[in-house]
Parts: sequence; C-alpha cells; structure tokens
Amino acid sequence: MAGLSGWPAFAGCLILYGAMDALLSFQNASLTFPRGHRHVVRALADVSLDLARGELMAVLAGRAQGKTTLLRAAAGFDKPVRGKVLYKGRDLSRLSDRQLSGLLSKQIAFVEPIGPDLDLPVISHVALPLLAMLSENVAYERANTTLRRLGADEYADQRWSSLADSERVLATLAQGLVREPELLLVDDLMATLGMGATEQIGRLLHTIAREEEMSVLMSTSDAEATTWFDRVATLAGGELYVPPPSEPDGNVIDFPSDQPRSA
Amino acid sequence: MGRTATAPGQFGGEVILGLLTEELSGSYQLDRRLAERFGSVGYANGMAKQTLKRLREAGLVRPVDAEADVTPPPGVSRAEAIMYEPTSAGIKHFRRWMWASITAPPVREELHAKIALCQPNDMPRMITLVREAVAVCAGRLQDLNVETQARRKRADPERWSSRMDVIVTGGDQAWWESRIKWLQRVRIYLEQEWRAYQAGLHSQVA
Repeated sequence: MAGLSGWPAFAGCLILYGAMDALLSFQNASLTFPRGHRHVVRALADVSLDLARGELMAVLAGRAQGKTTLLRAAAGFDKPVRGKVLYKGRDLSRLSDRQLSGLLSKQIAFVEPIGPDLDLPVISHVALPLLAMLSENVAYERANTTLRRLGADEYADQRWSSLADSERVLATLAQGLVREPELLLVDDLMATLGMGATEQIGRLLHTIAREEEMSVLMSTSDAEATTWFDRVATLAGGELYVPPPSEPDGNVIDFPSDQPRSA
Repeated sequence: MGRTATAPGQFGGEVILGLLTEELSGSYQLDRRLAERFGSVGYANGMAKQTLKRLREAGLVRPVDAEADVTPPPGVSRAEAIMYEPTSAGIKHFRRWMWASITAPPVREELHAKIALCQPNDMPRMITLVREAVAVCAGRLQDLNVETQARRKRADPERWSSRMDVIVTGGDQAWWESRIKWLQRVRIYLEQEWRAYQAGLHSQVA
C-alpha cells in the first residue's frame, strides 16, 4: 500500500501519464441543455479526463447521469459551453463539419445500442459505413473480416431482427470496428447481456484494442462490463471522477486513509 | 479485499459525543437513541455505558450533576441514569472527527454516522467526504479489475474454477457498483439540500 509520502509522488506520475500521450482530452468541459424557458440541465460539469493511446476507460454511471452526453461530446456531436474537448490536440468544436465528418468516418467510431431502421442482413449493416469510401466488394470483404474476428461471421447473413441480444452487441461493435478507428466510443452497449457474455465480449474488445492500439471510451451502467478496462471513471449529475491508474500488481492505493485526520 | 466496514467501536466514542452535543443523556437513553438513529449498524446494548466510561477518563465528557438525587426509571440503575454532557475538549474532538476524512473504505457506517449527526453548516464538508468515498470505491473497483485481468490471463478460461471466478468477481463488482451509485446519489441529494438551506427553504434545521 502506498504510504502517506507515496501519495503525492503517485499523483505526480498520473499527471504525467495523462499529459504524455493523450489521444482524447476533456479540459474543464461543461455542457448544459435548456429545459423550458427558465431552467438548464447540467449534463457535464467541469469534466476533465485524458485518454491515452491504447487505453481502455469505462465510465460507470446510473441512468440519466450524462453518459451519452459525455460520449457525444467526445465524438464532437455536442459542443461544450465552457472548456474544450481535444482529439489529438485539436479542439473538436473548432473543426468544420467536413473536418469532423472526416474524423468520424476514419478515426473515431461511435456505437450505441440503437437498432437500425432497416431490417437488412448483418453484413450489410456492418459494410454500410464503408460504402462511401470503398468499393462494394472491398467494403463487404472488410465487414466479413471484422465479423469473423468477433466470432460473429456465422450470422452475417441473418437479418437484424432475428439476432439475440449478445449477437446484436457484437454486430454493433463490428459497425464501429470495421472503420479501424483509433478511438472507439461505446455507449452502454452491454447492459442487456448476461454474465458469461459480458465477460467474453469485454475480453474480446480488450484483445482487439491491445492488438490495434485502439483507445476505447465506454459508458456503462454495469460494473461487470468494466472488467477488461484499464480505468473505471464514475459519472453522476454531470460530474466525472477518474481514478489514477491502478498499479499493475493490483495493489490498493488507500486514498485518504493515511492522511492526517485533521480538519 | 477489505470489504468489512470500520467496526462501530472504532468511532463509537465520536457517535456518543455527537448525541450528547445534541442532547444531554444518560447511558440508558443513549442506548435507546443509538438504536433509533443507527439501528442498521447494530451497536450492542450497553455500548454507551462502556463508551461513556472511556470518554470520561479521557476528559471528553462529564456528569452533569453526579450528586443529584436521580430517580431512575424501573429496570435502570442509578449509574445508567446519570446525565452526561460533553466537555469543551469533547466538543472539539467531535468537530475534528466530523470534518476528518473517512478512515477506511467502504466507509458505510462511519459516513452514515457523520451524515446522521451533521448540521446544515457541515454539509459542504459532508459533500467532500462523499466525493472522497466515491474516489476510494472507484479506485477499489479498478484495482479489482486489474487483479482479475491478471488472474484470468494466466488461467485457462475453460477450467471450472475460471467459470466460477466470473461469478465471484461479478459479485464483488456488483457490490462496488451499488456503493458507488448510492454515494453519488447521496452527493447529489446533499448538494440539493445545501442549496435549499442557503436559499432559506429549510425553516427547521435541528
């Protein structure tokens, strides 16, 4: 366990950890939405986080605590009213629609548990994001490879409506992964899964992220879905807390317990 | 993993001091008030008497009038009926405890006790304490994940023990999840209460 003297030094390391190679940064970002004429809802309150390249960070939160807003801001869909969201050091709110669109088609993928409007075969849904950039043959081949990698190729030709929950999760992940993104944003995708499926899909995502050096920011309401993530932040009322990285051997850092017990 | 909460005995003295700060009491009354206010913690009956003895030796409480002619209720000894009040050192000790960080996660009992005894002006500090508790619990969940990853990478996932490990770890994760979510709700509630108090919406605060 870290002693009293170890805590400030450890905290110092964290600052370096975050600043060293952040792919995505929130810098004191606040986001509000109007509700009626007189009220505003505080969706994000002074949020700061650094997501390193290749890092997997889960954000654990209950319902309506700002999970989706956080991810939408990370994708540049929603712009903070104060503070910044930086991707590779570039302020997302300053990008033109075209620049943002370019990022979203090639570097940042956002997946959420919303089924498609059209009940097409899975392979078509997965290939869809590529059709604007690649030939149909190449797009479908890449979609097939992605599904195979996830162990989901056996139902490539099935229609979406016929899929089980865990199969839909894999197909949705495939829609994001097929773009070979550097940053994958996953919005509470595993909430409907049982124990074994959560473990398997979490592990699979971890393996792919490590192999591709892909960063993942995932919101979830289920702690079990965080098992294969490097860090677990918590979000409530728009306020985010990001713990420092755990020591590799899993030793517990007792945060306030060894500080002097004085007012 | 340090799942067991801080034993009540470790801060029982502070709880007794807090109750005496609110209202002078004898040990039999304190036992009853402990049961009313902290029933779920399960303080042992008779705990107040032992604690008062310890606090008196430490100069943190004193009998209001040990020589007074007290008529105890039926079934209560004269010693149990003697009223106690906190000394100035006792009040100072209690205030210091109220504002200090929680000693160890998962902080349930100690945090409950502080919130139960806090006054409106203590709320900003309580909010900070809850934030610290969230930080501790989130750190523990993350540590658990790192340990779990290391263990599962070493093990054959098809082995029976690995299959059962998913259940055991899932139980621990669910425990931290519920703690984190509860603490977050407490923080938001306290923030609302503090805003309402500042706006003068609470007419009765005692």
